[in-house]
Amino acid sequence: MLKVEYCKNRSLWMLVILFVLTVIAGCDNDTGKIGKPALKPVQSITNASVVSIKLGVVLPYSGPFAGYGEEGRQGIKLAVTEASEQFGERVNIKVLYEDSKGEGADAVRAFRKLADTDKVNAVIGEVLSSNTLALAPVADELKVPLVVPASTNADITRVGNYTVRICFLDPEQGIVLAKYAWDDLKIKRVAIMLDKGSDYSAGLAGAFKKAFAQLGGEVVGESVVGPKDPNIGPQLIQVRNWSADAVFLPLEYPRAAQIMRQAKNMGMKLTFFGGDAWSSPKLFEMGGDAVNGSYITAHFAPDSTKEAVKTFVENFEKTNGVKPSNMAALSYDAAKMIIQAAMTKNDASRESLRNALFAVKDFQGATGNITIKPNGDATKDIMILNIANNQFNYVKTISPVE
Amino acid sequence: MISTYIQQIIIDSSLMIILATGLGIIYGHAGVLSLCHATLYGAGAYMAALLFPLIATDSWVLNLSEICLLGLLGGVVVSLCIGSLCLKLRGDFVALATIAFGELARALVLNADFLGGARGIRGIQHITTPSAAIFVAVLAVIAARFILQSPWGRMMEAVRDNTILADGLAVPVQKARLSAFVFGGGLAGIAGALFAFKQQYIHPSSFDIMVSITILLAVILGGRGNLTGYIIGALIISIGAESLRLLPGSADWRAMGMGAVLLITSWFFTKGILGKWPYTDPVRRSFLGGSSRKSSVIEGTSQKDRIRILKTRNIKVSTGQTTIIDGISLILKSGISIALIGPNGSGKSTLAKALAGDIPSHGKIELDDVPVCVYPRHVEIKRKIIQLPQHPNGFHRLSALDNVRLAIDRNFRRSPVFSWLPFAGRNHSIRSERAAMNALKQVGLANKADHIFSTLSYGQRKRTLLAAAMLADPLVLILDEPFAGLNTGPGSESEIITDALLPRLKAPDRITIIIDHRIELLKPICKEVILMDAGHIQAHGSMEEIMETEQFRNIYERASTGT
Amino acid sequence: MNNYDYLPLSLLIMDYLVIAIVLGCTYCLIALGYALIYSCLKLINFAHGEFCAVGAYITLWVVLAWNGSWFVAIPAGIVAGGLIAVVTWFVAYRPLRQAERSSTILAALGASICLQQMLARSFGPQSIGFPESSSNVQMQFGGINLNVTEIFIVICTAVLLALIHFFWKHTRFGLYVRAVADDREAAECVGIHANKVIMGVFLSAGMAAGIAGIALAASFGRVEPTMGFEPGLKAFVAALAGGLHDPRRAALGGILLGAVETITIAIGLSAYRDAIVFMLLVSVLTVRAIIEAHSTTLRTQPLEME
Repeated sequence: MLKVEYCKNRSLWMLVILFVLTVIAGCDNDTGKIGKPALKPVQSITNASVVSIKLGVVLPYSGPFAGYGEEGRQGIKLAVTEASEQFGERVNIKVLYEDSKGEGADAVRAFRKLADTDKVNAVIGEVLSSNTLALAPVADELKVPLVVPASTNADITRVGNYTVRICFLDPEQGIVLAKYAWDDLKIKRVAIMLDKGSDYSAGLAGAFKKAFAQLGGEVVGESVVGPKDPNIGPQLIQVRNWSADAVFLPLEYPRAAQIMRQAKNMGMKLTFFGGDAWSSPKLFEMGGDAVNGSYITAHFAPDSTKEAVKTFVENFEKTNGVKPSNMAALSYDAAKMIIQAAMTKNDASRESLRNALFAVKDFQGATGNITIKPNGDATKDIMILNIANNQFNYVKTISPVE
Repeated sequence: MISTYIQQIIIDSSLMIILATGLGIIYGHAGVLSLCHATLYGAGAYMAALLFPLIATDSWVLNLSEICLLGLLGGVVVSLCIGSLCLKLRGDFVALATIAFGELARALVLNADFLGGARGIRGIQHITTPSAAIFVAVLAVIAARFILQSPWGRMMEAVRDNTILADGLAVPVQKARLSAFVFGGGLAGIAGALFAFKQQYIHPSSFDIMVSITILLAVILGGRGNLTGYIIGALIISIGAESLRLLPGSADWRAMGMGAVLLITSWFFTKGILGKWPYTDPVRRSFLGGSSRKSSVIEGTSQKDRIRILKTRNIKVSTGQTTIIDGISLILKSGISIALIGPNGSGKSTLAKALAGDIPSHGKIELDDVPVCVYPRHVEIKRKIIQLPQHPNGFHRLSALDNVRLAIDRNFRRSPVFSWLPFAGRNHSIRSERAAMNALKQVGLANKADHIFSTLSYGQRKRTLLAAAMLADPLVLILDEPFAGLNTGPGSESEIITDALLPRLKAPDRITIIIDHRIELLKPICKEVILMDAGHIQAHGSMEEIMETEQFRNIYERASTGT
Repeated sequence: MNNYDYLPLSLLIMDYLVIAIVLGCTYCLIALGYALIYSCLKLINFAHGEFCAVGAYITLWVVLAWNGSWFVAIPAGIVAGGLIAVVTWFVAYRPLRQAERSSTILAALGASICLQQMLARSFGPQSIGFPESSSNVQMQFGGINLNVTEIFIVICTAVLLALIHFFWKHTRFGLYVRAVADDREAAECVGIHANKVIMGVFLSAGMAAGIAGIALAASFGRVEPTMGFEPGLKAFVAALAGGLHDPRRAALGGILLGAVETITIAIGLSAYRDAIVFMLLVSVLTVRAIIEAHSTTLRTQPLEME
């Protein structure tokens, strides 16, 4: 009797489970194994005159990168306001913001929610390359156009056909920085302080190293910086020992500011330069006077004389009270590009938007003249800015193509 | 027709269930605070992502099985490496060691380009579907249930509750912990593989310590020691946290909400949401037939009537500053019961512990002329000499029955590798349950079998532990003040204990040493007496002889007149 | 364009030494707090990093929003650290009186997350720059640049260590703390107000954390809500290695951690720095465990050991 009792319980239980599973499996997935056919998005053409655009935004609003998210939100809001004024009655734009929390898995969930539950026409996202790399396959799967404002990793546009990027790539940045250093500043020996755990940092450092070596320069050493080092002193001492002409900091602005400030406090007179992740007004807040005398590549020059840029800077300052940063300008361009693509075709459906985005030519944006290549990347010339008098100053534009 | 958003949530919750179950076994059941669970998660992901392209097939079912196996392999290998190094440390230090290894793994991956480095691994196929994830999760939970029902599962819980006692009862502590760790690691590895083939891109930042802490939260929220609790905790963490997203403008408050939930849970559900003690997991208790056959689970005695000899030579126990025992040499033959008496502070308890190998000491011990290492002692030898301390410090979260049946469970010879199978150790479990019930009957506690140990009274606890010790049936059993704190007289607990001890005292191949102060209790049961004072043996002989000696009278008169 | 002759080795070592000491002092202050709290409540206070962050934020707030001078802001930050510690204890830990180990971890993590989020809600989730004016003043000692902040930290740590050493063994309060740490119920039976003692412990731990937080903010050059987490974790590891029962040993663990980190970076292994630090500490523990396992003398309680 003991054995029978034991067996009865167990097999009954297993039967129940199997039944439940079959039910679930039956309800799920009618297209086989992968995903589902995309559900129809919001009707884009109700009558010939009003275009309804629902825009999804996946950016980090909490966690260490929340700053970028905020700046992005400001840029997008400005673009939407301007478009509403420009097109008036003809357009109806709604923007939904979702927090990616700076994590890949969360970003993916946010994207899926926007695409499937909220049925947006297009998504603007993310900042960190590793998170954007997680989004790209989902964009392809759900057939929702993804416009990437700020991730510079080259692999992003290689995934599927639905990702468009409007910023330049790390390899291109590396070439431009190398060119400027070698040709214009006559720098021969460079030391690099990078974060090996960051794809952006390691990638950009690698790109620079390759380009600089090709020009004939020498990278005298690489020092590794941790994500949250309280004291960069040891690395700076290492770098000082290498007696380089300049130090490359492919890092975001909080750490770059910290390094430059500490270098100054330690009495080191070094020239620093960096990539696009430096440009934010907060650089001065955190680094103080120490940041002056360095230079960067940037997507955006606040003191440019181009019409589109000037208007953007003026409007942004009026609305938000601060000068716009790279992230704000890029997000602004992303939103504006999507809206323009929808309005020229009078159609905001996903397929139409996707095709229109891939066909963008000579879009005059705040970050320059954008043309989208067939693979989704943008052809852009890259600007060099120098940092002096506590502001970013435009120096020149260099093309990454030889 | 479910939106991919919901599908994503289903997959994520299923993975979290698998992870929480794994960590639940490690922390909730075996008591090892592991903060590197995310590393094991990542190990499975990377192993599957890297090796799958070599064995990819056209069949989806086969692919799914392959990635699960690869994930399992990754999790098991890495957890074996980490576990065999970390688990030798105790308590809080294990947590530190797991953090360290997690950090090391992350640094290794970030710096190794063939593992993807900081770029991660992309372009992974999409294999995981919601139903697959649920299916694997259900299998994982079922396997966990089987593990916890097997003898190894009970040993893990004993090790969690009272490692010192478990060690003293010769439970293989290291092996139990390591098997828990490897099971949990294997489950985490499977979850990692499923994750990689859903996300299609993996990066070391997905497997850092915050993820480990999140999984730990799921385990703790649900309640330690409770399998259903792990599942509920996992669902709360994954679905609950995500559902907060639906509240408008809630992105800002989501994290705050989680923190508040944790605080509130810790105040009002102090043992987790489902962990209201006393709580016996009913499934673990199988139906018991009413057989009254006496247990005869004495292991390995082929020559029942052989005389066994315990020799000690010059045992010394000292802390750096004082010497507690100074040079004790004894020869004890089996078939007798010995009373060890002496004034307080003479070193009786210490001698008991030294003989059993529970504390470090100098000197030589030989069992049947085979030298035995004094300390630390191999578990096989520990089985042979057991001492029962004075204060009944048992496995407080287990039931009385589980406390006692451990004495048989620890003999379970089969490897823990197969404990996840449906009938793992079932015969052994049935036997141990019967034997334990019988032992409890002998000490008069049959009606308290399912009560949690911490709810028993002092006397009941002593009787339970005595039942366990009797069932363990070691060659040498040392009872440290078994009657202390109990009533005397007819029908009292002391008498119950004496009656329970009788069978053992008569056995010709067992040695029993009883330490106590009350001679009148010891007189009827002990034939020989050893008199100790100030760390030395003052006298050793039969009861009648000793009671006549000068030293005996001195000591006991001193005690009674208070000089 | 910028060329330095290679500096003499002695100055190089001095440079590294200074950094090691400053870093070590920061960790030491945090580790002290961990050990104090753990010894009394057997609670791993995950929120300790947040006490540091609060100290830094309040200092910054006084300077920026109230235009206060540093001589007001820094003590304000320190006191804020202490106060937030007491408040956290009162709100989060005191209700747990009878609880078992696992729910204390829950409460500690919950407190940590809540504090982080409160900082993020009040001051914004992004980093805010920590102005330089205090650390601008430099002093030169034979070729080495020292910063006011660094000097301040070292002096504070030295003073605190001396205080702790004195008070732990030689004052009544120290005795009370040791009593409560050893056996809280017994201490209450003897008439010690355990709650008051614990409150005092949290106050001191929090103030030490506040100082550390200000030091961290000054070297990071910024404050952000999550700034306390990683240094807190490392200091926790150091405290564990040093010994959580005795704050003096935990403090030494902190200093050791600073030294190990600096050496690791100095010899060029900075990529593996965290991993090496942790592994070294694990080795220390393993070696200790092995020695202990094979010793032939009986070990007495750690608190009595000198």
